Amino acid sequence: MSGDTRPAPFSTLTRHFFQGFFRLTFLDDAGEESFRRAMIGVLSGIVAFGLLLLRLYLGKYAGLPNADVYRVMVQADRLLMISLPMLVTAFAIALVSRSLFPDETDFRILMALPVPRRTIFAAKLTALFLFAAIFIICANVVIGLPFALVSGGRWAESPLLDRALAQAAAGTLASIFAVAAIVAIQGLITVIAPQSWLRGLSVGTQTVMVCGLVLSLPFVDRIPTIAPSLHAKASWLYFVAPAWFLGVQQWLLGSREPYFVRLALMAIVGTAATALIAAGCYLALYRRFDRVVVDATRMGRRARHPPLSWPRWLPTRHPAYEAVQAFTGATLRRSSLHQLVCFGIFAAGSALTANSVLGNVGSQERFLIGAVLRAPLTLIVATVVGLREAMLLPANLKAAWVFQFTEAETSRRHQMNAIRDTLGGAGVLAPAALVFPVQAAVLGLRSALAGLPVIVLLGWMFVEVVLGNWRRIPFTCTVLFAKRPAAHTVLIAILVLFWLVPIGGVLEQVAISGLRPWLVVTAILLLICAGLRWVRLQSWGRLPLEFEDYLPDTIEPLGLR
Amino acid sequence: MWTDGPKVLKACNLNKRYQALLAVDNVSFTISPGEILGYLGPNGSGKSTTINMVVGLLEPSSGSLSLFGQKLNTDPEDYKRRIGYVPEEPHLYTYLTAPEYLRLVGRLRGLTGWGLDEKIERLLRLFGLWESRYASMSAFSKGMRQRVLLSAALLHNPDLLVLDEPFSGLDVSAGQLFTTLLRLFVRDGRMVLFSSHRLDVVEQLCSRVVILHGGRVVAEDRVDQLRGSHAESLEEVFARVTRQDDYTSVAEDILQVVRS
Repeated sequence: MSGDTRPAPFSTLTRHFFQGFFRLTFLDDAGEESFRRAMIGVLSGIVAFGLLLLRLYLGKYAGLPNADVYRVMVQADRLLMISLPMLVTAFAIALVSRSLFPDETDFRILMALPVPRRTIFAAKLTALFLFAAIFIICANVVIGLPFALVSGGRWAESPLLDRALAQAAAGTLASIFAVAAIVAIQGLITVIAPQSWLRGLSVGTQTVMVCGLVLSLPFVDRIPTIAPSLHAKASWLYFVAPAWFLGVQQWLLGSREPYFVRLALMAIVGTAATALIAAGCYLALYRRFDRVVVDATRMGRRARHPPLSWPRWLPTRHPAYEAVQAFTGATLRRSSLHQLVCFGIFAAGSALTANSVLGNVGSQERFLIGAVLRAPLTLIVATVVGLREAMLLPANLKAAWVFQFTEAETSRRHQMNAIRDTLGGAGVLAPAALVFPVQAAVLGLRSALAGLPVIVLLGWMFVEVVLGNWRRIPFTCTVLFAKRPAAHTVLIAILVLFWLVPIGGVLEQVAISGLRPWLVVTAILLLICAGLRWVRLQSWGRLPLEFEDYLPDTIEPLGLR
Repeated sequence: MWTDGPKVLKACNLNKRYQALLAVDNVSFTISPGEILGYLGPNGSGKSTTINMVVGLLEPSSGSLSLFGQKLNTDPEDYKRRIGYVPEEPHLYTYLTAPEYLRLVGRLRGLTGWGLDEKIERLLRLFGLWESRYASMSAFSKGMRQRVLLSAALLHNPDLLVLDEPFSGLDVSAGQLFTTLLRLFVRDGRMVLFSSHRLDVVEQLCSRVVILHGGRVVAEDRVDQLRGSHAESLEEVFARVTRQDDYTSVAEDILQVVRS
């Protein structure tokens, strides 16, 4: 062999792994470009919201009556400002949690090259470190430091620089703990789990982590309300990880109270332990890199249950209907990306529901009843939107030729009906059934039963609206993000959640008040549903299927004069 | 259903233009009943583009396609119903198992019920995939995926099979099975459009070949006619008509670059 063989290019590999964290392989070029645009829109929104928050806190701390109130409030707010960067960082790492270690592709491609194994692992670890650092630094700079600035007021006990440094240190340590914890969890699964379970467990853990983080939002939102517990040095806070880092902050600001010292010690021990476990997992995998190569699907001849067949005594369904329904179900069951989107949005809906119901426990009964009446509708909206968004994302664009090749006008309508039934079943009936026990417990069985048809009809209405212009087989079409301005999307979400859902709640309340109102409400809703269905059926299945997403070619004028 | 008319696929003056690029330039050919037509050409010659037009996945810029005397654009659904297609790359939904994929394709083709399941089981057994029926296709080799695609193409008993590189990734015995299968398939008047770079297979399987170069048909005849009186091999004929005979100098240039 001639020519010089240089050492493996560590920086090239690091760059490759780092870029890999941002790569969306399921999108085409136009889709990736539109995703970038959408992210810029979202970030602008977050910055705008941050500025608004800043203004609110400035007003809050300027108007506090005395030092005692300040002390109580500032501790809870500091805990919130530690939790937020922690949450943002954890969310980012959870989204890429299946790429935290070198994978099968890396093994097959890189191990065949003259690249030492240690270089591959060091490059991956460095890329992960850089990726996490971006979120840790941005979140703490954008959230923590402005808070240190505005939380002074006239009652502040330490200078601005001390407050800023303590906030940055505590927030950064908390975020590092979150990263290390996620790496440790995924690492333990990769190293310890039986190989035949590896893929399923890894995907499941990622989904659970993302949903858990979304579900924690209402609790993070309520942190300022636990100020009295913090002031009373409640022992239950020892079990709340973000509170440990408040201990670090207080210690850095000079407090030597045993409560905060203990919390600080827990933070340091917890971070060190998770970091050690994460490092141990990296080391274990370094020694047994071949483990990642074994695809769980290859392992087995495990007997899957035969597919459930349609009962013979029921009228047979069109084969195209069965094809799309089975395909949709299989994709949602097996694709981690689609599960993540679907469950993530469902978790957001659950968080809103839980926030609304839990927030009214202990308040006046009518508020609690109102929250419980709205709960299934919020959940239905979130589930239908989650399913719809998941169905919009392609599974394997190149494999969609089979649907193009077999597209027929005669079967198109049946294919569309399968999508409608999937949304109706999983998006309306399942959430309604899920919340039914809560409704029965709060409203009574009879009222809950009376409300059920109203909920289903409202859900049906929503499905009809969502499917109005639908012309796609799920997971087979390219996708473009940010087709409409972000403000437009936010406006629609606000209209649905703060207008449609409350109105639905009121209708439900009216319907359960007696037989005659029930009859009137259900009759009106039935009529609306039938009308929407009629409108949908005018074009349903008549136009060719879409396999390419496109930007609207007409500009809608605002009509301002 | 098209029961009358000549049993033939007729491609007439097909053109496909991508902005300034003319990918397929005035291509015409026919396939007669019981015939396997070899469709050859170097990479980028427009083979796959033509095949995509023949199976109805791509609309020609101009020209016409007809099967059994009926034009593609008059009833595309019925046209496609009579075609089985194996694409060049084994693009499948790899998270599905082979039976799940075949069931999906079968249902999209309008097949259903116990008959479909039975047919799928028998095809999987015969193609040697039954043992892997519980594994998702992400674990399949390229050859196994090709066998799944061929099963899917045959599932609805098509009149015309369009095969784009069907032998890629197949082992020797599977290749022989495919060859025999295609010979038997055309016996009762059905047709095969066979595109491949495996000229040895084309030579022994196809009665007639069309050779494409730069989007144009540069040769079309029976294999024995093309070989002519000099008894050239098909490989030599191919190199001659596509002007790719100067391999030695190109190979030497490559080695020079490698050594530099």
